[in-house]
Amino acid sequence: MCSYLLDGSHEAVPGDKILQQFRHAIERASSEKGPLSIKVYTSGSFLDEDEVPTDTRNQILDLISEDERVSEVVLESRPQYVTEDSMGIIYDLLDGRHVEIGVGLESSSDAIRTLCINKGFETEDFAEAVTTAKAHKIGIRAYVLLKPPFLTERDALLDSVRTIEDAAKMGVTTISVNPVNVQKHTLVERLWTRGLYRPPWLWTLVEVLSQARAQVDSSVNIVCDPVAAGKKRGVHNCRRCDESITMAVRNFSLNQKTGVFDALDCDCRHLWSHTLEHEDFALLVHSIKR
Amino acid sequence: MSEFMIDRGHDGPARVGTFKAGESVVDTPALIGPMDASRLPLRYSTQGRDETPTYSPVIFSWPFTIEKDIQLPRPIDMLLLPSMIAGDFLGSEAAGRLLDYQIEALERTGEEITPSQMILRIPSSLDSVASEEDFRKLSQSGVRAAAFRFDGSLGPSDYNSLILRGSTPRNWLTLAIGRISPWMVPILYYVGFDVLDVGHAFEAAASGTRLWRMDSESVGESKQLRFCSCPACASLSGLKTESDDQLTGILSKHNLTVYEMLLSESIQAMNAGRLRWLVESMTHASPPMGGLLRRIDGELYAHLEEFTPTIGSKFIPLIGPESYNSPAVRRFRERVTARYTPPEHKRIVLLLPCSARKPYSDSKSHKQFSEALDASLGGLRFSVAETILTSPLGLVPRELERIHPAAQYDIPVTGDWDAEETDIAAKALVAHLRKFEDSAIVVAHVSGGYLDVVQSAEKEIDQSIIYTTPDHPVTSKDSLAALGDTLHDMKEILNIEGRKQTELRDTLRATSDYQFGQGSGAILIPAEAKLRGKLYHTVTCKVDGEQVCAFVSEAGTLSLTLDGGRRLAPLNHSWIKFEGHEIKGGSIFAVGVSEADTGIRPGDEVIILDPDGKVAAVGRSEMSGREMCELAKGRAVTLRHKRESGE
Ligand SMILES: [Zn+2]
Ligand SMILES: [Zn+2]
Repeated sequence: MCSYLLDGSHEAVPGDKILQQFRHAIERASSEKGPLSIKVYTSGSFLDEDEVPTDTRNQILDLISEDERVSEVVLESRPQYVTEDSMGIIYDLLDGRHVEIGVGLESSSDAIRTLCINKGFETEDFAEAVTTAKAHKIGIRAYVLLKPPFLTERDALLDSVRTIEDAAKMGVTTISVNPVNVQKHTLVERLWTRGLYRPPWLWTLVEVLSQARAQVDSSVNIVCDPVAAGKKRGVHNCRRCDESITMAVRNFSLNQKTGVFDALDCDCRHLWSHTLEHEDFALLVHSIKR
Repeated sequence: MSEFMIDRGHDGPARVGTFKAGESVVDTPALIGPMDASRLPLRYSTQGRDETPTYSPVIFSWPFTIEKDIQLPRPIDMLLLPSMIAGDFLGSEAAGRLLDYQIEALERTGEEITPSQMILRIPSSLDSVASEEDFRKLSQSGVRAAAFRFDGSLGPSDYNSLILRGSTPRNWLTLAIGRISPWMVPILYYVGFDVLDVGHAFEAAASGTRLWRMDSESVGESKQLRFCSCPACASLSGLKTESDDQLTGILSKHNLTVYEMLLSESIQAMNAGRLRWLVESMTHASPPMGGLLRRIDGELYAHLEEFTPTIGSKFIPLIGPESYNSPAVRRFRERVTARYTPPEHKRIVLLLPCSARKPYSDSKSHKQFSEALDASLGGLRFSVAETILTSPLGLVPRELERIHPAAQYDIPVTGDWDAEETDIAAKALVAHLRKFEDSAIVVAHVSGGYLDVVQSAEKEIDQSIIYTTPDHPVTSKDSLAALGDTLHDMKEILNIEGRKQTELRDTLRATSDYQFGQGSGAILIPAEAKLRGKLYHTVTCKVDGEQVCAFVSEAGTLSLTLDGGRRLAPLNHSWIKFEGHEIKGGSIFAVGVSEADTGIRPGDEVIILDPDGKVAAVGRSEMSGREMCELAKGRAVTLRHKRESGE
């Protein structure tokens, strides 16, 4: 399988330009053999008319439906654009394909989503979107954010586990866990440079995946493709064990077996478990200089 | 319901006490650590995330992500109110909101958890002035504990946490939490923390680090391990064969021991009146430690001084620059400047160097100076204001040479002064000489660093200065002869008349002014007072046949009688209002004090007034004036004399 990437930018892009970009991407993949999976990533919502004009959207969907190699499509949207109308059109145009709408739930706690992530919707809106999509045989892929700022390591761990459980109960089809990485010119970066943020530990990610897998129905896939894993700006442990654990995480995403985590061990586990307990008490960010 | 009681004992804001929660009693200062640190008296844990041990109290943190259903498992536990990690990033205004959020949370919990079981988290970016009002309000609603966070960098955030501790009500239990290194223990205890978080012992152990008193050692990298006699390290010899789990276990036990040793050392130092010395010696752990103490001495002076006793241990070592502005030293300098008034008959100011032996009069050099005074002036020597230059006290008038800390301080006597010492003494000298007539003559019998002091002050001195022997040691035969000659000449020039022995009166009045404020000496020891005794032992003072006070050489201070208290009462100084008319026993407890002079310091001679304003007793204070009013328990005054019933 192979993914196409339509990179969103922050300025509004005219519809024809978006279409042009999409054609470009398709052309580049013209030599690939099927089955293919298409993920359309935009900075906001693919289903938001203000962002992607309805005509453009439908033309893109047409292009996809014409391509016989495509078996799986993931489109991104905020929950409020997952409506009867939009789901109906997608169902009509992409009939027969496995379609998922990727929605950034991030956290099922309204408090955390508002205070730490600054997203303007409620968990209820998300639940409604899941129901709406389901009615049109369209799945929802929930993005779960591991360790937004202003949470302790254990706050983050527990919140992600709970979010995955909640999302599964609401009926999502796939859960994608995204550990926060420190991107340039962001609030997280400002915190991080002052020692007030540390990206999640890989141990935390492993714990989230294992606990969630044990709780959630096996029909729901839990996947994670961590960005900058093992780097100081990404999810990381002590450097020595980063590679083997990242590999285990990728294996888990493919086979959904938590057994891949069983053999993992490293000296740094002690420091991680100290961090879990002590950060809650002291509310002091525990980061070690690397 | 929990309760914190402070016992006797003072050396700065540090205190010992007992913290009662439910049926458990914890002696403070105490260490708090994780759940598996079973040897510690207090443990930390998180609501709904950890198991509760079967014994010993636990402080539960309340994650802000849990909005309701907060319960404390047992009455012996405490609850740390919810806040946000890294919330201080958002600035002092946000810090205020984080505090408000906790207050709301506190109100939300309802009746099951009382405010006395809650611990406030003080954001380190909180504005210390604005917070005082919050603290007062919270005190009224029953909150009695606060936790302050330290990141261990000893930077601005840690500094601000210390400053905030200074404005916390005296009767609150205060916790220092976060990354606290062993060498921070004495200073945190000194500024008044009661519970110290030793989580760092485990953090260091998990990183393969052994902590020591003043530094740390990376065990993995160390070629030759430092010797340690602690039981945990006994099994460290075959280090390479230890498994990782075992090593972490050994290191955490060792690290914990280091904290326990330092805390115990701090308590003992406090009991011996040497805590300040310990704190000063720990500044050598790192430059930031030194910088921190210097900044605290400046910014927190009022807080530190208020609880620094005016009497104390036999020896006070003042070794380096970290002592120059210690509260006892700075207070002495400020009190001499503000309260000492030279008697009118002093026409000559004789500047002398200090001596290693205290009081100075007992030293060989000062005995020689005294002989020179006797030989040249005889009975007229009492026209001379003997003034001893010294570092870091600045100067000590002869009359005050037996008072704390002048009689106890001990410095490395090398004769070399650094710029700061010279400046301190020069400033003190200028202020001192302004109190004399311009026609007085300053005779400077000094050399070396002492001479530098006089010379650097010279421009601002209005009197004439005569240097007796600037180029020679002051105790050489020639120098002493030069001193005698100079004084003899002065007698002629100033035309000094015969005078009686005024040494006792001068000393007692100066001591009174120092203790009870300027002008009190003339009231307590009036012209008609009869003085008997020796300054190196005891001097009693009687007025109209009744004793009013006694000078006790050992303390260098005056102890009052009831009559003495009555004479001083109108001055509104060192007074304590007592609730009730009859005093039982030999003490007054804080609970019986309705109001007190906020200028009272531990160790002060105090006057106890009944509700009618009549003197009921006199005694020695055991705490500062504000503590007597704020604390519910504890001995406030040890009585010396009290009114007989019906008197
Ligand atoms: Zn590791
Ligand atoms: Zn040891």
